[in-house]
Formats: sequence, C-alpha cells, structure tokens
Amino acid sequence: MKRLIRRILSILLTLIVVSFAVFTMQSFSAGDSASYMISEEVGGAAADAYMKAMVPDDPFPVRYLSFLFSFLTGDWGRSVSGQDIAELITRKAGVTISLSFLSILLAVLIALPLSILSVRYSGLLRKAVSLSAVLIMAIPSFLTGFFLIIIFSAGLGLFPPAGYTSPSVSLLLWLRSLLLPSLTLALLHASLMIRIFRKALDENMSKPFTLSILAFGADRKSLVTQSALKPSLPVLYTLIASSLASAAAGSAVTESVFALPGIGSLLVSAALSRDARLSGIIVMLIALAVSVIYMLLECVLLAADPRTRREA
Amino acid sequence: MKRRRLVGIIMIVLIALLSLLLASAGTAAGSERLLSPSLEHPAGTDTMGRDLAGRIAYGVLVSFSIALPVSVISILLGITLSFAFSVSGFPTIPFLMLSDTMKSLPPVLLALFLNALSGPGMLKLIVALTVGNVPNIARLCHSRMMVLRSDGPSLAALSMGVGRIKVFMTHMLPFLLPYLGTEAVSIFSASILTEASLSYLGCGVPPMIPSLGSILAEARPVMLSAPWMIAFPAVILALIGIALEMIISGSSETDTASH
Repeated sequence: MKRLIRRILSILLTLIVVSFAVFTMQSFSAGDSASYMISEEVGGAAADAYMKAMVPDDPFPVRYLSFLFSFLTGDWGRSVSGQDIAELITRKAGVTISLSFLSILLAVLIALPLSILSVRYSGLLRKAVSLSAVLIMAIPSFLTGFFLIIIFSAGLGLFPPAGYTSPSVSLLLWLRSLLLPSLTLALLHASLMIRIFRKALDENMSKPFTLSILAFGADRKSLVTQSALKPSLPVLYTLIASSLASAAAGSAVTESVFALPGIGSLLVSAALSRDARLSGIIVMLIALAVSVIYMLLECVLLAADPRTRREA
Repeated sequence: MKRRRLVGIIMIVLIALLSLLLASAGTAAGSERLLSPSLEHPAGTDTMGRDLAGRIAYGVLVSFSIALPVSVISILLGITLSFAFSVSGFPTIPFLMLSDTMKSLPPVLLALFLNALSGPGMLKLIVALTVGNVPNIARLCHSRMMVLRSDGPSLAALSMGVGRIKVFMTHMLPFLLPYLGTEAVSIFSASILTEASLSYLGCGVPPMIPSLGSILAEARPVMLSAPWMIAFPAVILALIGIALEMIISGSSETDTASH
C-alpha cells in the first residue's frame, strides 16, 4: 500500500516538475520564438505584442499556476497554425496508442518464446538470437524500419511502405498499415527483453529451488518453463512497462519514417515549426502517461510477486 | 573477455582515425548525382553529387563529438553525486524522487522540445542527452554507494578520523569507477543512436553540418535506386554499435545487465 501511495505521489511530483520545467523554458525562450515567428520587417511592435500574448505581465508564480490550471482543465489553446490543440491531440492519439500497444504485443510474442527456447537449447540458437539482438540494438530504429520497408514492401509487396488507413475505413487495411511500424518498434523492444529476461531465466535456473528439483531427477529442459519462468516474470513486466514508456518517444521516429499521423509525428512537426506551446503540451502529456504506466507496473508487480508485498 | 574489450576499443579508434583522414563536407557537383561506388568515390555520391565517403566520415566525427562530452559529463556528474550520497546529511531520498521524475522525459522528447523552443544546435543536443541520463546515473551511483558506504575499509577509516573527501577518494571511488566507466560507454552508444535519430528528423545537429542521420534522411526517397546511400552509413553505425557492445560486455568486473 505504501508503495502505491508513493507512486501516486510521484505522478503528482512528475506533473509539477515537468510542467514547471516546460513553463520556465518556455518563458525564457519566449523572446527567441517571438523573433522567429514575427519577421523583422514587421518591426518590434508586433514582436512585443506577441511577447505580451505569450508572457503576460503577472508575476512568475501567478503565471505558472494559471499555466498549470489551464493544462489540467484541458484548456490547451491553439497551435502556431491556428488549430485547436486539444482537438488535434485527441484526433492523433489513437494512432500512437494503437502503435505502442501493437508493438509491445509483437515484442512479447517474439521475445518470450525466443528467450525460453534459447535457455532450453543453448548453443547455436542462443548465439544466433544474441547476435541478432545485438545487431538490432546497434542501429537506430529508423534504419530497422528502412530494412523492413525494403524487404516487405519493396521486395515482397506485402505491406504499404508508408501511410495510414483509419480503422473506420477498413480494419484489415488499418492493421496492414500499422504492422511494419509496429514491427520496427517491436524488434527493438524484443532485443532488450531477450537480453534481460533471458538473464533472469538463467539466474533462476541456478537458484536452489531449481537445483533441488534437478537433483530429484527432473529434466533440465522442461524446468525452464516449470520452475524458472514464474519467478522471472516480474522482470518481464518491468521490461514491458519500460518499453511502453519508451514507445511514446520512439514513436516520434517511427511515425515519421512511416508517415503515420500520430502524436510522435505531431511533436516532430511542432519542433520543426517552432511551436513552443504545442510541443510543451505534448511533452507534459507524454510525461504524465509514462508516470501512469510506471504506477500500473507497480500494481502489477504487487499482484504478481508476493515478495514485494512483504516489505511494505 | 579482456580480449573482446580490446578488440572493441581498437575498432572504435580505427573508425575515429579513418574518419579524421577522410572527413570532408564535400562540394556539390550537379553532374555527379547519385553515382554508384567507384574508385574515385568509394561510397558513391549523394543526391547533390557530393562524395559520400567524406560526408559519412564527417558525420561519424560529429556523432563522436556529441557523444563524447555527454559521456564525460555523465561520469563527472556521477562522481559528484556519489560524493554527495556519501555525506550523511545529504537529502538522498528526495533527490532520487526528483531525479526519477525525469525518467518520464526521455532524451528524444527533451531534444524535440528544446528544438521547438529555439531551433537545432549542437550544444542543446548535448544538454538534452546529458539531462536525460541523470536518473539512470543517480540510481546507479546510489545503489553502489549503499554498498560502499557500509564497507569495512571506509567505516574503519571514518572512525579513525580520516576526512570525508580522502575516504571517498581512496576507499570508494576506485570501486565506483569501473561501473561508471561501463555506464559511460553505454551512454556513448545510446547518444550516437539518439543523435542519428534526431538528425534524421531534422532536429539534431544543424542542417548544414553533415551527420549520419541527415545523410540517411536524404537517402530515404532514393533508397531503392541508390542503396549505397543507406548501406554505407548503416554499416558504419552497426560497426560502432557492435564495437561499443564488445567493450561493454568485455568489461567483466561489472554486471551490465543488472541495471
């Protein structure tokens, strides 16, 4: 219980720290964005007016509190191009959320069997799995995406190389347009999962509880799933949570490679068009989502692992 | 294990030296667009007719000159934090809670936000990458210092009235450095990947400086007709990544997968 309360407190703390950081950086660079947004020919008056609109005269704490309040009440204002930010984000969030979950699902489907198999049949299979995991982690994820496009859409013609079909048009086309980007993220997550989860399996294979069953004459291969798997699962849950947390940022790159209209590509275009407000809102939303993910992880760990409950 | 680390280090040094020799931003030559690899242009030319080998070498140098300061600052930060953790009056738990909140701001996100505020820049990139690593460094140093602080030698020295700084330097720092070193190599590796991704998006190093990410971004539209534009930067990135991984996994004193 204590741990849960601490997690909930840490969500609040994250919200306060991140919003404060975003707000401070925005205020300090307001002059910068003003001179970027308003060209010099228009003159200083327009730039001053822009500054006034961005940074009112109130004292700093008052401005921060009203900033935080309008963020919490969903009053997010308009982007540089004049669109309603709240509407923009709700329209695009679905793509990113489905991309993230699909990629985690694929990653677990890849990593779980491969980890178990490579502990069962160590040798050539284990080496091959390790090598491909190292290779995938050595190159940036957008390159993995390039190779997948070259193989699956240019070579085999199975998937579209880029673009997005809404699920309301066709569920099958929607899945097809999301599969390659999800696989790109999934390969990266899976490589990390295999490395760490397999290590946990290895460790639990040499723990006393496994060794004693082994001494009674049990088959070593079947012990991987029977004895080592369950105590290793909390590690997998933690990996799933951290992958999900990094998927939020990783989707920025993946969505741009595959031209998906999600939050990630929205953030990139906000960065390129110097939209301080839009990018600030997105950063705060992602930070909030990540800390909620970690709180959910804590709940799952408490439910799955009795050892964690004892300390509290 | 030691040999693997040595091979990794030699690979990195060779790549760096070769890049120093070859690096050039290249001059645009309209007539030589997208030439395939030849003796004159060992890696072919790009969409503007510039020699790709020189640009890739330049990009490697840019990557290294961003990743190196990030790793060095991270080590220094780690040493400072560890010393702070070794002082009993330091508010460790509140500090860790505060640094953990930054875990929800990965470097890519931070860099994109800074970019939205005031455009691309090398220094901004270094700041974003360093700040993004603070929570991990803090956690690592904290867990090491928990062990080292209650270790016999440091307790004995403290009880005999040896100064805090001296105890830290002689009984804690030498056992901390291998861990920080390994962490710094993985930070180096992660920084190169993040820099490439950000430059690919146009939010990394300024556009006029060649970088591996921006070369690959130029290659994206022509990747089927000019595969060498992807192949060479990809191979270099993979070689760097594998060499760094060999250094990390070859450092047998520390357990890299435990954190």
